[in-house]
Amino acid sequence: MRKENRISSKKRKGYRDEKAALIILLIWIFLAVCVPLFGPYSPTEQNAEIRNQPMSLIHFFGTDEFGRDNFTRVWYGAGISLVIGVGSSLINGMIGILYGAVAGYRGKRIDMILMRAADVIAAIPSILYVILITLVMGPGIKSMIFGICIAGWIDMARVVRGEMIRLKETDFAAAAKIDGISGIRILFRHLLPNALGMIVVNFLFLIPQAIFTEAFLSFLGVGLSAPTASLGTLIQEGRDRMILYPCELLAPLITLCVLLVVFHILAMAMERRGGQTD
Amino acid sequence: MNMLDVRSLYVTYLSEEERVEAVRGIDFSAEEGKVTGIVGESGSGKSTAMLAVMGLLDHKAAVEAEKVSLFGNTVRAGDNAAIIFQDPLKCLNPTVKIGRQIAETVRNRKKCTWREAKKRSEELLDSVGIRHPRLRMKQYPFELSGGMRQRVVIAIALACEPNLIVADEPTTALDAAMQVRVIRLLKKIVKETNTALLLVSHNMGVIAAACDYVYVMKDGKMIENGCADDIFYNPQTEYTKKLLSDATAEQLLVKEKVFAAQENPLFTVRHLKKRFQNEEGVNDVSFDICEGEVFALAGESGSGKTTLAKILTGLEQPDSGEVFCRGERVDRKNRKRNKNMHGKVRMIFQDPYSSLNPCMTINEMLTETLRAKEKQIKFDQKERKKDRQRQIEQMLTRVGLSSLDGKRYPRELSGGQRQKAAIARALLLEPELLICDEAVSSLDAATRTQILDLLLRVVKEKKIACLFISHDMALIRRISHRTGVLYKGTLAECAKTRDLCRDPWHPYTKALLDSVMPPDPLKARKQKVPAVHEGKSEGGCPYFGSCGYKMEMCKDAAPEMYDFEGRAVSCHLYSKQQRAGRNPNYKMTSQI
Ligand SMILES: Nc1ncnc2c1ncn2[C@@H]1O[C@H](COP(=O)(O)OP(=O)(O)OP(=O)(O)O)[C@@H](O)[C@H]1O
Ligand code: SF4
Ligand SMILES: [Mg+2]
Repeated sequence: MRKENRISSKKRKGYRDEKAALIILLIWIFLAVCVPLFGPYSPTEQNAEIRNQPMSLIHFFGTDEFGRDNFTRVWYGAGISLVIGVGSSLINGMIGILYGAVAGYRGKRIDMILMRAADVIAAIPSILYVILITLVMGPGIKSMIFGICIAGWIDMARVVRGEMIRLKETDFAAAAKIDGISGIRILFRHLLPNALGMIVVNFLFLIPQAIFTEAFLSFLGVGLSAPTASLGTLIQEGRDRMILYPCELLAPLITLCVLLVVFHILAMAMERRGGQTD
Repeated sequence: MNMLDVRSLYVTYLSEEERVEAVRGIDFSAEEGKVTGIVGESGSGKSTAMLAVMGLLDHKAAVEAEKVSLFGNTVRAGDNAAIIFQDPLKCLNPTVKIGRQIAETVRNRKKCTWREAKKRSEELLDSVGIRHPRLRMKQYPFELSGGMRQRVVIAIALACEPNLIVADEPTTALDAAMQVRVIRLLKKIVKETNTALLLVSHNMGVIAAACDYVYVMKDGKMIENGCADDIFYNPQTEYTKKLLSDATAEQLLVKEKVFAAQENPLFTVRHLKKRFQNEEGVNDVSFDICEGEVFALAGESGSGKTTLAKILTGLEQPDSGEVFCRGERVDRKNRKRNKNMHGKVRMIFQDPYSSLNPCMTINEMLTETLRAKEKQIKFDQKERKKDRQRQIEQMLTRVGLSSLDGKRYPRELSGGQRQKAAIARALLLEPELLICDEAVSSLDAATRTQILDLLLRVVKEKKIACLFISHDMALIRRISHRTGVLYKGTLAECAKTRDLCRDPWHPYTKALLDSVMPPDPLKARKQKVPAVHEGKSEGGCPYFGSCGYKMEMCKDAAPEMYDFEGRAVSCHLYSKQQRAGRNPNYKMTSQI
């Protein structure tokens, strides 16, 4: 009894976190879209007259050494992070679902071959691929997404494969097979919808992972190149001037952390909820 | 002395639209060291009353009672009382090893170290008759058979050291032999630990075998009570008499089928074999099924019934052997023919909760099935699409579902409705053979009759055949024309159901029939506990280990099928050597 109470209070708290996270995420997206588009300043245009201004009502986070409005720059960077995170996760998700579904559903030899191939790709850390690709293709959003997608789908593929192996043994899969429904249709129409919960959870975990990879590399200076500035680049630039202008470091740093945490909370909430409906 | 005392208990279910008075003022009591039974048909409020006593009905229902006391205390589930449900899997966590589950309960009850709890768990498992408890503790629930799972649940119930155990249909999901064992076990435990047991069942046989005192419940009221012998031998109310006569009468749902000589079988199965890694799945099984016939397949859990069904549907490939449909060989290597086969065999699964896709409404599911059918036979696509909805609705009405049910998801339907939906799907493709794998064993008595009626009607109208798989001999007797008895993957006997039940020839068939619990306390008490089948015999008769008629020759040579005018039996008692001295015109009769 006592245990149950504890769980249910935990549950309630979970719902609250989830709502707060969702609202923050929506605000972040809204700002990331609207501030660079409709704001009075451009994230790239330099203006020598207003260099290194402190925080004020005109420039919420002040301006940098070239007179660019930090507020606009931060949200522009957040937008880039979101684009890279969501874009690469969508591609990763798609590849992973297809790959895992085929491997899990076909089983036996094909499963063995496909999963060993995936293991080989996954043996090298994802970051190396990204560095390699940016070196070859030149820095930029496209090469960043491409690099993340080389090995990023493997987690998704493993999850989907596991679900497929479980689902294809169920009675309803057997019933569909007896009905003479084709394998492809059983896979996509009958089995995959049942794995949707897991897929969404995994997808939500992929996003912050991609965002972090991008920020990390940009911080190291391998990722995006000027003038496109992502949150990672901003943090890197802010670091040098940390003592004099702490706002230049803190603003992008906090924005990035909140973004990562929010995605994590959402993913965990989905995971919990998936457990419940099962 | 009365341990549990309940006085005028009322339970009312409250839902938005209506109030249902499930229990209307009942009094009952249970004594320590005794088994108290509660019988009544489905929906009479037995389970509700038990849940109310245990305090497990939360806000859904209003419970009122003058008095519910256990030795003067209140009843607290998990503390001084424990409950066992019909489905053992509901009580067990599938992802936790059973040892841990029991040990946790032990530790909840009293402060002790994990090691002490483990030791106690081993003792408990041992006391419920599980051999090698240390090994079993490391296993997950799905690795155990049904009977073992129920024993584990009993062990968990005992771990709370309760004064009162409530068992709600504890044996309904088990096969007959296992039923007898579990009932015996419960009786023994009650005697030894001096707890009170409240046993709820709709099966008069179980009540007769287990109970000292019986309450009969109808429409939320106790209409009769008395000690077991009084209730069974001298019932006072009409209702009790009816319950008893229903249980004893051989209510046949099918008429004896007159077989025309030389009738062409619809399905012929010859020498099917299928081996799994280490054990026999199906070993050399042959039989025929005729048009319009219900062929029952009996046998205990794990005897290969489901494996056989899966081979017939094409879900599993046999290692060797053939299946013919209307004389035409079904070739599994040939893909095209295999497709044909798909249209002819349909299967209804045991568990209506897992055989319907949770992500599809009933309509969507049926549409999928129709699509598959249209693919096989080329139809004018446009024409068909319009037709689909009409066909689906017709089928839904046929099986007794409304078109509103069609828009629902499986989780919104009751067990019976789900099974009806599964039947609708099976019939939509006009099969020639309908396989029902324990299709009604998870349903309560009333729904079960409904579904059986529906099945039999369809088989008769459509002139198809039905392979009815079940471990319940009483049920098989009521609804089938012929029966095959499977034992460890081999067909022990195959004959007309009536003959087979009245006069079994194979020793195993006899054992199977004997393990059906008679609704008669005296007979039930004398009933032998069926032996646990053990020991593999290499090359010899599979039943050698537990056979009471075994001979020297049985050990080394497996018996072949001996056929006597429609009765086939696989036992050396009927072999040529045994018949050697007899008159060649001798008409074979049962040798046991
Ligand atoms: N996929 C499999 N892999 C390995 N062994 C299997 C498999 N399926 C079944 N078996 C084994 O084959 C034997 C027959 O199993 P089957 O499911 O046919 O029994 P059953 O008669 O249907 O039992 P129940 O009454 O419990 O449903 C069992 O010993 C089982 O463990
Ligand atoms: S062959 Fe022998 S061991 Fe097997 S059932 Fe017959 S008598 Fe018993
Ligand atoms: Mg089975």
